[in-house]
Amino acid sequence: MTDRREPAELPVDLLADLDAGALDPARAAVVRAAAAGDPQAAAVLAALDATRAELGALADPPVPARYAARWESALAAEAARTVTPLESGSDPASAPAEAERPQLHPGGDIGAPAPLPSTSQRFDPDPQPPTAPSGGRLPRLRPSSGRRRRTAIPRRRVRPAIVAGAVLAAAVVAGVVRAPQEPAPLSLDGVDLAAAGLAVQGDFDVGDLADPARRAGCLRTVESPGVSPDAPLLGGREVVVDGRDGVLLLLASGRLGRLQVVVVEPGCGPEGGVLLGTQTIEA
Amino acid sequence: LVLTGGPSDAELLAAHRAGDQRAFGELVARYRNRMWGIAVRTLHHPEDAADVVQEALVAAYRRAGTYRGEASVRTWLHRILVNACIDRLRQERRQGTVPLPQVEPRERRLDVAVDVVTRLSVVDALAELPAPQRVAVVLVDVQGWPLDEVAEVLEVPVGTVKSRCARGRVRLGKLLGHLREEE
Repeated sequence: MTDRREPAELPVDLLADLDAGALDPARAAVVRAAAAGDPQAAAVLAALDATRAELGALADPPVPARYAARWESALAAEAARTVTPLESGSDPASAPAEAERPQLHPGGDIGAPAPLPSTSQRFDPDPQPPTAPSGGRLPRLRPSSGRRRRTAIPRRRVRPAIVAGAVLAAAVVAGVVRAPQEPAPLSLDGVDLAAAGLAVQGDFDVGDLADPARRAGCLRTVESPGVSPDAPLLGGREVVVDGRDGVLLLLASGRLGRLQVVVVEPGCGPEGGVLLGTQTIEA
Repeated sequence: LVLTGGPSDAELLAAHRAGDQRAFGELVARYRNRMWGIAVRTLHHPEDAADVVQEALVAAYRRAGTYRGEASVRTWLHRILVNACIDRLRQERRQGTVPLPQVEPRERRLDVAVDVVTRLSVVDALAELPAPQRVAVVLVDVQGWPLDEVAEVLEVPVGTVKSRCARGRVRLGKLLGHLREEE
């Protein structure tokens, strides 16, 4: 197989089994000994090594921000429609007793409504009202990629605001929307900062930094390069960066086609602050 | 990744079962990137991969109450993901939507320029493998998981994982030009 003029004496599949450790020790010893004196077998083993090396060099691509936001929305919708989602199917043998259940976030509100997706996202044209946990249908709150799907799911473009309105209406009808709630922080691990910045455009979940004066004081303090303290806020979101809480700000730069993404610690203000990340987005 | 001093995966899952709304998000944050990597390498298309990760996360959210601790949370979570990937691949196969190979395996040749043009990328080559081999190779060779944990995720013996990897590597070796097709 490795040489057309002189086929290998040892079958490639056998060598691959040896290489993978799939042979029992006695058989492996025999094959290994035979391969040691066979240059073609050595070439096959080297080829398998090279194949593995190529596979091992594949890095995980970063999670696109739009997908991260979609998953977050789906989980938020799941949380919203199941007040106690996990107890019905719980296994008494493995469920911790009430007194010993860890409460990692004492302020957590069981059954609190989930954040609704931003209207800046595109959604499936056929949003379904939430179903019972056993219903099996996932809330598919996701942006449209525009690609042609290989699976036969008919789609059509719908204006985002209209679709988001439909989702909101369905959620209200189903009793999902009960009270305003801040969305959970968005993890930026593995997410491109520019993409994350663009994804939060139109969201303004920035806590105290919604106050222009405080925001300006913060930006002045952290001295992010190229960022004006008075830059208009285009969007923002509470985030988590490497385990640290932060606030992502998407800012206008005053120059056409250029935006600034700045991530600061939540307490940032005129009295001080920490810059966690910054990036310029050029059109 | 478990931060020093932070809650373990099992503690996070228990907290989630107890109603802590942030706990599951923390768990997801630990494994989201890796789940994405597995899904996108297995399914070969980002949109499908994103669908499957979403399905897996929601399924895990729903099934958290049935987690018995027999496997690690990481194994449990990835088993859900891998099963979702395999279901998606089978669905595509039933629908006849699996694309045919567009590039023949390259031959060994001296013309480097032609070689680069005709050579299948690793990512494209992976997509040519049958689902069981593809998943095993992605977990073992791409993600670097230990064989015993892959066996646990796939719910097959370790020997089966080794065998699937062996067959997959031979096929990939041919597609990538490291091995020649037999005549």
